[in-house]
Amino acid sequence: MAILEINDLVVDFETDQGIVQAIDHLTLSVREGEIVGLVGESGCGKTTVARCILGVIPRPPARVRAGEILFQGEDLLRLSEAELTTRIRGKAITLIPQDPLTALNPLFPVGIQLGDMLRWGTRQRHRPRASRERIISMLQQVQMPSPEAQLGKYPHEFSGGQRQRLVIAAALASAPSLIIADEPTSALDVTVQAQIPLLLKALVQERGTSVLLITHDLGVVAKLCDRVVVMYAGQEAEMAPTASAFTHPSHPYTWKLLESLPERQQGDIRGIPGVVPPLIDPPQGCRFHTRCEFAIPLCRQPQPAALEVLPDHWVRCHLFPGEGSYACHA
Amino acid sequence: MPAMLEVKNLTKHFPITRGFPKRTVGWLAAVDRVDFTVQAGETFGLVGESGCGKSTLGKTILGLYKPTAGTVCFQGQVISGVSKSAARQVRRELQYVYQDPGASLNPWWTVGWSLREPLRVHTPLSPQEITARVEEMITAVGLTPDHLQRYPHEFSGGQQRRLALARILVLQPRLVIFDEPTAGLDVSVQATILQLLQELKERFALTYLFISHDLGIVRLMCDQVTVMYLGHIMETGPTEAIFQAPAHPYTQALLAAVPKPEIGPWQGTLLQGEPPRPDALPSGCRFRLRCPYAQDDPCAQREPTLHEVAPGQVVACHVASRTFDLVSGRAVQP
Repeated sequence: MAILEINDLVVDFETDQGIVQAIDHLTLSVREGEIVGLVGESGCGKTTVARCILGVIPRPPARVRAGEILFQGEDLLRLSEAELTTRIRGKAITLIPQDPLTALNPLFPVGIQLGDMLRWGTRQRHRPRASRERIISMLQQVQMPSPEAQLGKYPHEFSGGQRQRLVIAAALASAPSLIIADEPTSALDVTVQAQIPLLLKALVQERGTSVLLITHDLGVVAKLCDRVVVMYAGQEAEMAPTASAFTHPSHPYTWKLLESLPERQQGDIRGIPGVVPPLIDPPQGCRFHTRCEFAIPLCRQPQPAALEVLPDHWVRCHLFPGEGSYACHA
Repeated sequence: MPAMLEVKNLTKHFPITRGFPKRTVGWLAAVDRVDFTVQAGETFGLVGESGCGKSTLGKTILGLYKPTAGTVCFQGQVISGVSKSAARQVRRELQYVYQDPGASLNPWWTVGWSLREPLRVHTPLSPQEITARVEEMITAVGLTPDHLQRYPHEFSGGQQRRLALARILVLQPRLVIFDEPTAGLDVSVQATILQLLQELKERFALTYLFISHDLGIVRLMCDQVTVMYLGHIMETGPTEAIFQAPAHPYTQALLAAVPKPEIGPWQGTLLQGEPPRPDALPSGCRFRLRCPYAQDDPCAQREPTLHEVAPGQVVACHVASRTFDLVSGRAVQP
């Protein structure tokens, strides 16, 4: 059962230079208790997706042209701002931000900030002592050393890894159904980086929470995620169980992306020639065809539709002829 | 033939100041007694976590920081602590590519003007010769002479790296120091830049010193690797030896910490906590507080010295030495 389903989402940005088609007919889903990795090059629309789900995208300049974001069967795009605030944001869906230092208020001790998250997230007024105990247990769960001593400290007194633990604790405070983690480890050192993903995985598995993990680190995806969605220029290129995606990458983009990794290079180093096309004037047809070495004439015209090439393994590419592959998105 | 670069006992201390007026309350050893040799034609990797002194080391070699102690020899000639005019001669042949190439290009200058600048400073070439050299090098890095009319903001991250490369290549250097050459690039672009670096190395007979925290890149590109932790060398040796049989617990932990992009189990890091502050180092081995194998004696007592554990592989660790101490028969498996 899918907890989050994004169907045919289209998001434009109006700019002085023209209309940027940031998200173009994106479809993806996150099932209950699952960790789904959302990967892609910078500028492919990963963060825009996260912002659309949370409804924190500025409109204008953004404009949702079509599609729906179903969260537990309810279209988030149709909810009012008040409903989003009272039921969704920071409650049913929480965010683990990229940079924990900017997410924490520098002027308040972390104990107070976590207490706020707890009150807000659970909509309960705890007695001060009960609330203090809850916060301490939250800090214990994220393996913060000597939690009682940390409550009165300010964010700047913590190291990078500890700050990341604080925002994970805050994200879990409201017992959310879905956590969106936006590059949760990119600001950390290598040896500290390795501690966070495993902690996050253990915590969400215990609770059955679903996670949408936005990242560019394919190593983390391979070790952590149940399924992976590869995005290219505002569309999903491939959506598959992680094992299937890594052993049978089917979209040429996924294939080339994996081949670009230093760990997978053999002989001459190979990357993907060219750059991500400007989304203000994206190529017609398949958006990857300008950089694809297997492109056929068909790729230049209609956009490929998603096709299930292996069990639960969906690919948007004309090289997989099959029912519906010639269907063109309107 | 002298080595391309020889660093001996190099040390850089920064003062820690407090109050007003400033007084020095202590010294921070950013780079502490570092020795290594880079042979001509080699790619030498310097890895470690942020704050371990990699960049300080690179900048001290270049002469941007004056070393507290120790010497830097470039092609058999001492270049540390020499006069500015003598240093200028050296800097033609010893070039540094900064971490953020976008920030090292003047936004008000066309790219062509930026690329001509080093030649105007360092060489007596005529404007025609300068133009010819600049056009040759911009083509060598995969851009076209048309790009010379543009401004830095018109280029993507990958293209800006190419410009930074062209700008140092015009001076025909012998040794190039790269500070995080692909930081902030997407993997697909990163691969094309690494490919270009290999091409240029062969074409212009360059020697590279790579400063990076990305072990995947270091393994792919480097012949020799040195692992640093808090300003000190922990392990150094041929790349394959280091990656196949890391001897130092820190190297082992560093390798284990990076998840490989393939399906399979991952234990994550062997290390708890984070590196201590470099101004408050523990006694004895500086890694001991995070080391899973640390013992009171000798780890807390004496600082380990570098010793060879395999041909060319040198390690600063008491435990690793015991592991490999097969002569006395007291091999201790950590």
